[in-house]
Amino acid sequence: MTHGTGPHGRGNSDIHQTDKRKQTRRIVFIITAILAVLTLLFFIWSLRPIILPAIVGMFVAYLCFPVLKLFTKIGIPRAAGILLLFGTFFIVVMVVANLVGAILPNEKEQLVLRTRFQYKLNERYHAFMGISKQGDTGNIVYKYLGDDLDHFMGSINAALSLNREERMLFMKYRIGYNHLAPIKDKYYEYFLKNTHSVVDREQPTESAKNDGENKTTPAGEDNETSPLAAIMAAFKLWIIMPLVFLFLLIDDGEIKRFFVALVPNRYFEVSLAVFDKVNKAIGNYLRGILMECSLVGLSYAILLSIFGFEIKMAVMIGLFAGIANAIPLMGAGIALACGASYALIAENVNSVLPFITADNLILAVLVCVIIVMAMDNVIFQPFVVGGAVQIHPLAVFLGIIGGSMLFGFAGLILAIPTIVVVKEFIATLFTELKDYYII
Amino acid sequence: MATIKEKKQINAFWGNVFSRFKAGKKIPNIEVLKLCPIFQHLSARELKKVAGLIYERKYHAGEYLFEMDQPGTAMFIIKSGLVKVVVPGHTSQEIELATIKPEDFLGELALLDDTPRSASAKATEKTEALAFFREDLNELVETHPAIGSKILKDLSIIIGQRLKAVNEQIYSKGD
Repeated sequence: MTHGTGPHGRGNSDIHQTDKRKQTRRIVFIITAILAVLTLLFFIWSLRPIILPAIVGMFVAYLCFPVLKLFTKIGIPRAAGILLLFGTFFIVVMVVANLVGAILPNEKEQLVLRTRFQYKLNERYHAFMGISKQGDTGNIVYKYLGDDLDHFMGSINAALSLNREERMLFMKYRIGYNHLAPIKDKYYEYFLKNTHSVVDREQPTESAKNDGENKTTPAGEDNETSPLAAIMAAFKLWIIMPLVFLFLLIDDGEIKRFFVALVPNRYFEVSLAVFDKVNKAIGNYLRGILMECSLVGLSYAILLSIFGFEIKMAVMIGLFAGIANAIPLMGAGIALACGASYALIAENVNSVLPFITADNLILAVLVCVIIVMAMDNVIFQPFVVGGAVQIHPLAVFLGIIGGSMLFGFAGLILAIPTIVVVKEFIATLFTELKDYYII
Repeated sequence: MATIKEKKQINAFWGNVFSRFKAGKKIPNIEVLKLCPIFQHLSARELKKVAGLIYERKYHAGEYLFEMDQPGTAMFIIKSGLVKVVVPGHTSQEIELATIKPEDFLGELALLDDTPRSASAKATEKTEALAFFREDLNELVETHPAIGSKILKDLSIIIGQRLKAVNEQIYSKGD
């Protein structure tokens, strides 16, 4: 196919000028693209604290696009649909925040949980090693590995034990503080036993740590770490989430049109095809993964409740495991770790299944995790996520490590969706470029 | 190169048989759409909705709007300038099938599926075109079925008319 000289018979100088313009245009495009990418990277790095709220807002908006489409289809004006969705979004955020706040243990419960966990962990360790009573020499495992295991348990105890301030707080809650019921006698006994074994050992370390803290923290900075300041800081960051959500819903294709307008004519149709296919794939992935995570979380909550967990704990583990399920195997890992930890401290198990007791609850947790993993692989993933993008486990591993190193918690959560977006974009781009005989 | 008679015959397929082209008139997008047969039954409000989905593109002389054998994703309505529909000839030269003038449209089959384009469209002078994307039409059918069905009905009529025209040409050649 020739490009001809056109109907007006352009001369050689015209052709030369056109070629020169093409070359200049290409250079301008390349320089602009490089500058744009560098600026984007700079902004991403500088604004990394607000990445998570912004992406959560985008994610929710993505999920709401089909709903908005449905509203328009049934005759609700777009503006009214957006207002309705925004209102629902706010109500849902408030309700979820309240629910999560109610589920998460308060200060007193945290202290009691740590105390119970430390006590029960030591109790079970001693029972398993055969060193429960004074004068016991321990079983064969303890004889060979006792020193190493004791050292390991020592470091776990150091992490779990309450420091001086926490112990004082525990004592306040023990007699009733902040309008909360006093701590039960049984847990106080656990506290005494835990404290007795560590208080002498940690005395010098604790005082040294406090000295260090006093030296580095000026007195005036106390306000910055107060709960109110923390809430305000979180509010300032997370206020961006509803704004991103709202603006993306209001946008009626202007962002897409802006970017497509920048694309050279030769790639115009390719860009439309790529944009559309990537958009559909990401939408399907996000909606599928949300549904899968919700079902996995719900399954954990229901099964753990049946197996005898307190409803509050079952819901909390279900919530965390559900969220973490966006990262392959992480959901199961979280459920196993949290469930096993709870099984360790559980004393009164009221299971619907009579054969589940406090002693075998940890096995029940394992069975629960296996059941949910099987359900996820056999039912949820094939039927809910369907043909959504699959990622190589090595990419998942490297993505999570790299994401968390670069962007902390936000990077950990967003690593997989980002890899999916990039993978889908590159795969679709190259397929379309080949289809259009550009490469 | 095709003869003038052949060109006229082929133009029955490629050209806008409903054209109400008035030369030298600079008109806004919505007016261009109003004159396009595919959107002729849309109300002003519906046209405004469609105008919001349109991509405006500018081409230099010699630039292709689309090329033969590439999958089609959009229909083009010429706002200003001149476009030639061409296919490669036996020699290195292109065979010109039709000339598309302002307010004419081309590539409308891309609104139905992504089968490869049967010819290339090349701007022969500075051209402004409005592109209407297939997926936007699909979404319009979902969200605004009244608009979508009017567009699809008119598209079917146009394709039918063109098929009839081509059939007539085949019969006349047979005679």
